[in-house]
Amino acid sequence: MKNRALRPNATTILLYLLPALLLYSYIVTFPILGALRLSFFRWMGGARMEFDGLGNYATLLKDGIFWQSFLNNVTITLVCLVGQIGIAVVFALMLGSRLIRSKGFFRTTAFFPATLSAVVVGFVWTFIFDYRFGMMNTVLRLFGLDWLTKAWLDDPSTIVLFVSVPIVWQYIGFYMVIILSAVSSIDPGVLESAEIDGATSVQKAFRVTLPMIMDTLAVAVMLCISGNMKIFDSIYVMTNGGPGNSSMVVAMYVYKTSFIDSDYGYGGTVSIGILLLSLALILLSRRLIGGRRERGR
Amino acid sequence: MKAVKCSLISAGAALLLLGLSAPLSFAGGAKESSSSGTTTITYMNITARSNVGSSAYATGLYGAIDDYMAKHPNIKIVSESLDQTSYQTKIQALAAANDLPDIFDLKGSWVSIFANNGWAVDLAPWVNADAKWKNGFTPGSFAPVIRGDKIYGVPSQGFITSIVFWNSALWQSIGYSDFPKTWPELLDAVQKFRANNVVPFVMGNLPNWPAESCWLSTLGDRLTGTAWTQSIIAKSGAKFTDPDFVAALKTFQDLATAGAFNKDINSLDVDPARQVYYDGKAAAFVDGSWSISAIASQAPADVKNATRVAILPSVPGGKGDPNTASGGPAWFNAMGASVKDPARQNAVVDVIRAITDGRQTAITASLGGVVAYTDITFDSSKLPPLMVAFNGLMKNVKPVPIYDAYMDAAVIQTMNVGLQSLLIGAVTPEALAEQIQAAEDKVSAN
Amino acid sequence: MRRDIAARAPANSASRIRGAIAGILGNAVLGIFSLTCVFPIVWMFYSSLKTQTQFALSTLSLPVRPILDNYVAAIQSHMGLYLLNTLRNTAISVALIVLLSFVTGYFLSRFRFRGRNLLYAYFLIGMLIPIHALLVPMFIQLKTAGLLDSWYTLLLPYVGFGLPIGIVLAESYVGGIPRELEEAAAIDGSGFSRTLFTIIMPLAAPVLAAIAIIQSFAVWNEFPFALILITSDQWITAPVGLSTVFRSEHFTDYPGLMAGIMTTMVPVLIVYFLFSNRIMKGMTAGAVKG
Repeated sequence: MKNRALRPNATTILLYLLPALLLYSYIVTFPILGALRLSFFRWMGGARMEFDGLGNYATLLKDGIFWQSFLNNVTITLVCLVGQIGIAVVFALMLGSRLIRSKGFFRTTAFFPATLSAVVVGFVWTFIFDYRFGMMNTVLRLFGLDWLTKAWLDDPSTIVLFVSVPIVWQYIGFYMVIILSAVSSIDPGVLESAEIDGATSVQKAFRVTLPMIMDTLAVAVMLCISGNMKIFDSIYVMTNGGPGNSSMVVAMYVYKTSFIDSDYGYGGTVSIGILLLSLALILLSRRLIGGRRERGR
Repeated sequence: MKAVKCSLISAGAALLLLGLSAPLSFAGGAKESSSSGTTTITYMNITARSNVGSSAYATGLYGAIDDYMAKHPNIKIVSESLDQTSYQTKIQALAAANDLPDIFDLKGSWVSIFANNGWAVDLAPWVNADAKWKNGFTPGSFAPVIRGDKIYGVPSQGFITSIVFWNSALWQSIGYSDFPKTWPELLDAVQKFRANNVVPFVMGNLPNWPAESCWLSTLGDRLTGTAWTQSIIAKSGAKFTDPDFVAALKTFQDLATAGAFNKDINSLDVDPARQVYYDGKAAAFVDGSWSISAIASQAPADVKNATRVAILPSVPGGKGDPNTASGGPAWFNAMGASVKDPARQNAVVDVIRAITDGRQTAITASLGGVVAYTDITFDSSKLPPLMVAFNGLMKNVKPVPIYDAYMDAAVIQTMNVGLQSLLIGAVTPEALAEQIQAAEDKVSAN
Repeated sequence: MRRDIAARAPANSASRIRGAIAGILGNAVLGIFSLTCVFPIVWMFYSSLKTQTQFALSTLSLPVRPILDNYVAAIQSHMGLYLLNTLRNTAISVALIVLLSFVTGYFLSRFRFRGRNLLYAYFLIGMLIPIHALLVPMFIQLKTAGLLDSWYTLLLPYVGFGLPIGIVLAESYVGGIPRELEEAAAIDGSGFSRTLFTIIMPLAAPVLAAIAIIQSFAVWNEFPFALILITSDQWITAPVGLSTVFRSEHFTDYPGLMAGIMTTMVPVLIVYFLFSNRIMKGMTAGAVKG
């Protein structure tokens, strides 16, 4: 009796898992299988549908725009790993300090950008980056730094960094809240004893807090990778992937391939391609962070 | 802990309240029963009813629709409007799923795909049978939607996509009392404006169609001549790698290198670009006829009064007629392939007729819209002066194909994206020409 | 193990000053960040009170003579109906996401059954696919099943695509809840389901609140599914309504658009500022103490 209360039998487990599994399979997996099927065909949307085997995949491997887009996604992800999670951790640790005031207000406002839709975020940042009356250049001119003003979104060599800024900004609060909830589950006794041991707040952060929230950080890293691998709207609004294809990302490429070129078969191929690459990146991140966690404990 | 519980309970209560409010609208959810004899015709477009009053075409279109429904109580026209990007996504998805509405806006560059896939009904039987209707349109209006002897749509609006709007006061200040007639003069003016810190031409190429639709379609014609464009469209020999087209790209790039455009050319949107011109920071901009009403309603009085219209100058050595500007209808009203019943097809065509012929265009034209159907009489007394000037200009200007009204979307996509790079010197004209040709080859192979 | 507390106990004035400076700097950094977070919405609000000409003159300045025309236009459209649809979608799908994520996350975290890792990876996939590739297959699938264009249509993708992130978060959080609690409950004679919902679920409240917040905004702002799967005016959601009401073919009326954005956001803003502080406090109050 007691045993069953702790370890239900297989049927019970299955019954509990079934609703989510069925719904998810129907609305997520089936369409993905649909896209997977399309990826083996040449299909422009009409009645004519030609099986092409791995032809689309061969094209994908040689597709410069796809790989450039993927590289842009990776760059954005790296910027966000440092920018979003890094800053979020710093903020979360700062909120643990006695020196900081109005913590509630800060938590509420910092999360606020995450409530906006990415389209609105892109829209707002278009006005911030604007060459003539944008806030960036206005502020720079105010400080007499006219030589620093520029057309922020027009230089292909730096565009990816600049389109990353709004993404970082939007989600710092999001990761901060997740990290805060993990920090709060740390036994205060552990921190107190570290303090008694003479640890400075920086030492406390690195030796006690961070190792204890590694699990959550691993999840945050995973969310960060998955989110940025399919980033789309804010960049679409700000640059439309341009100049040229210099700020193109894979999700936008999927969109343009499918809905502008009407090449649904290849659109499927690109999306399956990025799915596999993202999975690989996430496994890699798990390996890296998971390994450190085990050593930490 | 308590706080969590408390807030969860209150949040839960809020959710419950929302849940309760839901049935209210479920009740209204029952599909309207098709009461005896009423035919519902669905119409999906890019022209929102909320623009009635502010947009000439919207006013004309919905005026015609309301009038039609009033006269035909048994016909109900249900329209759904979206902005262009959303519309494109939705219509393509509906088409691929074989679920198109009865009437929809068809873009010139989609015609090949829609025709090849059998998504749009051939309207030739109806159009050819109604000579008054067919001949009411400006000659060549149907060209983008004709494939063989089939006609896949009826023109909705007419456009000239390549008009130079220039601020005569600013041009006067550098010694030009008239807009340059030749390219070297234009380049000279660019130098003078640069020296005065005025942007010669402001372009908002963020959505990446302006460089192609408003500039290259005309500039290309100056160098290649219209015969080349026709050959590209008909896929009968011409190539984008032909020297004339490469020369057009080179001329365009050289103009950009000379400093003719604003620094933020690829990150500026179309509306804010017009604003730069309104502020007197730019001497001119090249845009479509739709800007006429924008200038009339938004520009400050001094700029409005100083604004003149012109066409792009001639290019030395060019094979094209210098008196042309890219123009014609770019959007068409098409019938979805799911309409199969002949009686229903007749009903749908009757609606298409009502929203494309004089019933729509007389209102649109009287409000300053450019129309494709010209067999109309309308009150021109209220037209803005710039519109009158434009009409005067167009008497001697021949429209030539707008690239994105004729060429396939995938080709246009490559061209538009590539032009962004071309104008900032990130790609050579030769390399871009090859990319565009590669896209064309790929489309032709399908 | 150094235990020389004495060495740092007499807080000398130098370190106190350093502390004060750190405090000021820290507060300043957080304060400025707070400002940047709130500013956009403030800016959009006051810009929405301008005329197009006023806005064009200066995008940053305050409105000279605030006008409400843009809001009148928003109210006169079907925005109210669209908002109600969005509200319904959000309420129902978030409730379902929270419940299903919790249960699934719990099982994935507690039990090492065969195929557990595979199942976890299976749920991850939904987080990684760019949805634009799925629109056409999904549309065809739902059309065949007759599930298109109804009040419940959007609940399917919203819950389905909301599950992965919810499951991942719930799974990781439940891992931190000590197993002893369940053992104690079992000894007290509590059955499995009862323990799950009356003991574990309340303990997981912080993460469930986080999931609810995150998904509320995701669902509220969702665009592509709402665009493709809904056609009837009566089921259109606010973000799509925004694109139908406030855009014209050739001009963007920025103040009008911003009034529209504000209209779609006001309900969220109210709920957010009413509950967020309490929920956040709950989320970060240390619900699980070992």
